[in-house]
Amino acid sequence: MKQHNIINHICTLGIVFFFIALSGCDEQKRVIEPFIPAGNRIVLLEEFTGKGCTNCPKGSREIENLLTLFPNNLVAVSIHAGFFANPQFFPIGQYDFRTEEGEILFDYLGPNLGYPSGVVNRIPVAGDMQIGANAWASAISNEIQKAPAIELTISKQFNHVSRELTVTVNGIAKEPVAGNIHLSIMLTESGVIDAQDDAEADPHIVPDYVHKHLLRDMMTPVHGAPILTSISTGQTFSETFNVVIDPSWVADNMEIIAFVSRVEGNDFPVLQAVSAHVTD
Amino acid sequence: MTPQRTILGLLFCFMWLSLWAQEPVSLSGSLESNVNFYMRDAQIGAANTPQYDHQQIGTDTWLTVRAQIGGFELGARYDIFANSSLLNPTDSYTDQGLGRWYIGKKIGKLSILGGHIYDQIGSGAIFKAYEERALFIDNALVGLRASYEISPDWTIKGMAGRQKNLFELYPSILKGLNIEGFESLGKVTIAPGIGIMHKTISDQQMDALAGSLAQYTPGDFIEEAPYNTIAATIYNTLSIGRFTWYVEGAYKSEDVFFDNYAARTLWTGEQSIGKFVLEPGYVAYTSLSYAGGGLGISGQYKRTSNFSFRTDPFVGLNRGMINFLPPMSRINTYRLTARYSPATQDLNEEAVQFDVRYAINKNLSVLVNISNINRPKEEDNHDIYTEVYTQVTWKKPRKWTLITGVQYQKYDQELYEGKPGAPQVQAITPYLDYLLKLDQKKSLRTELQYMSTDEDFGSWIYALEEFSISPHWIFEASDMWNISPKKSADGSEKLEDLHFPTLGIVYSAGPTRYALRYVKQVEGIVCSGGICRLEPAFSGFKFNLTSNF
Repeated sequence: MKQHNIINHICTLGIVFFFIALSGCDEQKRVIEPFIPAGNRIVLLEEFTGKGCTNCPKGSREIENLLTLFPNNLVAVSIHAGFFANPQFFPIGQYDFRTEEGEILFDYLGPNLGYPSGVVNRIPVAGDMQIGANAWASAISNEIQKAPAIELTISKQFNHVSRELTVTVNGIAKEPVAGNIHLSIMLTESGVIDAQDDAEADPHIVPDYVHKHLLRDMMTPVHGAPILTSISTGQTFSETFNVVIDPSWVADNMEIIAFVSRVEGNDFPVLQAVSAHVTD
Repeated sequence: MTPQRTILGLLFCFMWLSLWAQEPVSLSGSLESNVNFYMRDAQIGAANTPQYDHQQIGTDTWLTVRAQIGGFELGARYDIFANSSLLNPTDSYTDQGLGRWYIGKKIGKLSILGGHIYDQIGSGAIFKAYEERALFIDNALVGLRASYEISPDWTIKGMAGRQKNLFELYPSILKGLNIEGFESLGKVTIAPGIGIMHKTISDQQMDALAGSLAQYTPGDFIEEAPYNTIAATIYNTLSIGRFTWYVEGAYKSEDVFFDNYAARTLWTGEQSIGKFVLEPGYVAYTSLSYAGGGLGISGQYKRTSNFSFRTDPFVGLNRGMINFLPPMSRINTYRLTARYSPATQDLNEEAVQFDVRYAINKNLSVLVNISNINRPKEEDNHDIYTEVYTQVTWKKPRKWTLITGVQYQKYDQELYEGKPGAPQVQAITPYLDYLLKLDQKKSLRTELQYMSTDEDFGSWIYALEEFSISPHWIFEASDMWNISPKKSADGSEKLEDLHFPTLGIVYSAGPTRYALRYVKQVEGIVCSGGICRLEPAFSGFKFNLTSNF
């Protein structure tokens, strides 16, 4: 009787699992197709990093990987901010790459769930504004497929003697946009040599690490300059800003990154970005 | 449904049931509140986070209420995190809301439960939904569970839902089935079980995953990704006289998961570490134990390969875990013997553990525990953990208890704590715990530990004095002294033999306990059941309130 019971239970188990196993066999899997970017959407990637963050060079390599993959559709800025960027606690190298704007953006685009983290077009992914490096490519390719609501161009003038930079951003709406439109202009510098903690290097403190896309300054207020309360199709705008570039920065290695975002409370998606070198 | 609506719904259910059942309501609950007062101390690394920079006070609170009425079971928990360091040790997290609700009913042989469900299948290898507050783990399954008693000793259980993600839900769908029972065949008993867990990731998750995989170079490219993953387990406990043998085997079908150690080639031609891979996985676990005549012997073996089973392929660390793999090292409790604890490696781990206990007489017993963990598929960081732990317990009933022993550890800090270039920590730690009963109410407990190591922060001495006046008061004072420092907490070259003192007072009044401590705590790893979390350095006061009502 006892053995009979056990056999009954085992048979029941077998039948249940047989049907469950069957349900898993006939799946149509998702075919992964290499993504080939097209169109004129330019996506903004803001990376939060720090010299004391041992995994952050992995993020920097991913940025270069993505810029190679999307040369015409991606602009990137590396913002040294937060815990791992504080030289008092991570006294690595000689420079403090933090900026006042970067620290504000670190909170504005938070919360931070770890380093390196990145924000793609200031749009949350699955509820998180800052996302890990393994999710950047996906978020960027999603955004590239959206046509830009506004198209942007940059014209600039740089005086090598006075080091005054004048940037004019011109925009034209390709579709109507309701809501406050803010324009942000960032200045970045690449080719800056200073030490960095790198988990994949041996030894892991790399004294001559080449830092790229460092946020140096903003020509607009940190949350962007409010330029319009709405825009209709075909409407244009032109905004000009000036700054004197710090003499310690190498102008030839600097880039201007401009972008417009629609700001409504806690939503501030980037509509389009554009970049240009400070010098030609 | 918003939390407010859920609370209102529960209140409505509760009131309706009270009226309908016309019988007394059984109400109970609990409160746990931790308040941290942050006092910056850059010298020990307690600085550079929003809490130390400007927030000053942080709190984590859980208030639980349970009710039983008319055969129904209802419950809810309200969670508050204000300036909390639990989510990210280097940042601050603030949110509050309904952390749990549930309603259940037993109808004959059928039991149903809806809401936030904590449960597991077998040892948890394919599914374990649980809450571990110190590690900020709360991976409740939010959905429905139904279990049916096939016979008094056999139960079948099914559940479906989505995993909790803070105050939201992950989008993937989880479904599980478990049958387990018990049979006695004379002197032999068996407790077999079989379970299956099915995960379907959402279209949104698949789009995100496909978006990442589509950018991989040809050598790393994955052509197809499954929406569904099935994990199945079969287990049994066989008892024959004084022997008990547990065996479990679990298999997971092909699943895309992030392998932190896999090499990837970028489009720039550079190599980077970490990529998504598509692999099946398995776990084999067994333990054999003997207990009798004052002797207890147990041996365990576990082999894990690619058994990362998460509800979202993009989450890591302690987030989104569907399963739980049992740890294969001793769970230590003393401050220094617990300083280096190995987290379970779900991608590649082979581990053995032996434990022998012998009671020489009623007052004297000895224990030896040996564990070894390695990564069989890796050449680098192959042997990652070894521990030999000895303990002698000697008692003079109603007078004193002495627990003493020595621990030896070899711990791969580079792997377990993600600290590149960190050498393996080798530590020898003698310890002593002496409890002296002064009279029927008063007792004095002394802990002394010395950790000798040339790695990490260097050698430590720890001393604790704890004076208890039963049943209300405990006064404690301790110091952890970095007697031979090798590394400065603030990263500078200046080495100082820092002290990390704690002064505390605990008052208990029935089911309520109040604890106030002044704490200086070195950074370290906090583990529970093989799941670990980096605990940053702390300086300030900690107030803890727990109550059951």
